[in-house]
Amino acid sequence: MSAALEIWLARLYTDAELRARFLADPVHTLREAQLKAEQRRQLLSIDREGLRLHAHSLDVKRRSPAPCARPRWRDRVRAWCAERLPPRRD
Amino acid sequence: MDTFGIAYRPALAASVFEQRAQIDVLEVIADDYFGAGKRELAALALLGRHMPTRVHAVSLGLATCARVDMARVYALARVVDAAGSGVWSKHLAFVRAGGIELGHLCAPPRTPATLEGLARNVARARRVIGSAPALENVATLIDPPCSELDEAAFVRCALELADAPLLLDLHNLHANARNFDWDPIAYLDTLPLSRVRSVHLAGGRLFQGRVLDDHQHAVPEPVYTLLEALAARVSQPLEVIVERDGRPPPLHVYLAELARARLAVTRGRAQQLERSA
Repeated sequence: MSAALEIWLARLYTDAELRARFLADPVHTLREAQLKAEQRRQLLSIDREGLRLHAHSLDVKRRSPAPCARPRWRDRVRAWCAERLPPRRD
Repeated sequence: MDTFGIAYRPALAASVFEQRAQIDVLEVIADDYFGAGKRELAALALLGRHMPTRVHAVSLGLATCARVDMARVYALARVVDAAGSGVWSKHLAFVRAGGIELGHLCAPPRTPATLEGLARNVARARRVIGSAPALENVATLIDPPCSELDEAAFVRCALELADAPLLLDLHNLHANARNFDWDPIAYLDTLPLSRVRSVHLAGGRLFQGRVLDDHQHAVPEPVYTLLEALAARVSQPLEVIVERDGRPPPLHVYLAELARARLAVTRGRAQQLERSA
């Protein structure tokens, strides 16, 4: 369930429409979220000003030009193989 | 011996080589080299042969319940290998979840589940890279929702579970203390200070009443005060790095900040000697 919380927070931080709905009507918006009752309860007392500033800061970061930080294809292939193939016996 | 260095940017290459007597150590951003070819990695290796070079990863996102992106771990391994020192660091942050890229570091919910995920991800990265990262405290504009631990307890548990050293970012500490109204010195005293291996210094700005850690301004005086307090409390050598993002200022700006950092550490060490005398 904590993975679900991270995903929901990621949506809340990056999705302006969800954030606006949440800030306007948190109880109703949280009803749609696949979260534990305790997590929903804690989210009702979220740091609202912090949320607004944090989301704005992330938005600025995502818009700023950044160098390509994506791994090369061979690193993706190595990761794919390491996850799916048995370890090599030397 | 305490050492002092800067976050390296290729634009600074010529002046760094010219002034290398005044710089003990460099830190490179790993992500800048993730797409690098042989030539760029060879340049990094050359840099590493001339000066101790640390690798600081940004987009890995270890502090999460989800599995770390192993392609990034393999890319990072090549960068750490090229830099030559085997020393790397990463934030206590998550940067993506469920396919959503956040665009920057986010303080995760401070929960046992996050800590367990972090420990698993550090172990995965350690198996590929060959060493554990120094873990860095992060600045945040929002008090992470659904947290069960305060920041100091979260950092303590993270270091213990991951068996990792601490990269203590004193501007992040300053920013969070200001933003959430707690005492940074009291926070320092609750950390396992024997685990501090290195220190980041940076600057930020006030953003609608909160301190934004944007790395684009001079290191403020309260951060040097924290550095002095830290140096008065630890016995191990500190590696102090001044960070700047965006367009780097001329090297003399970094050197002035390094001189101020040296002064703060010297004063802190002197306090320690006075106490033990």
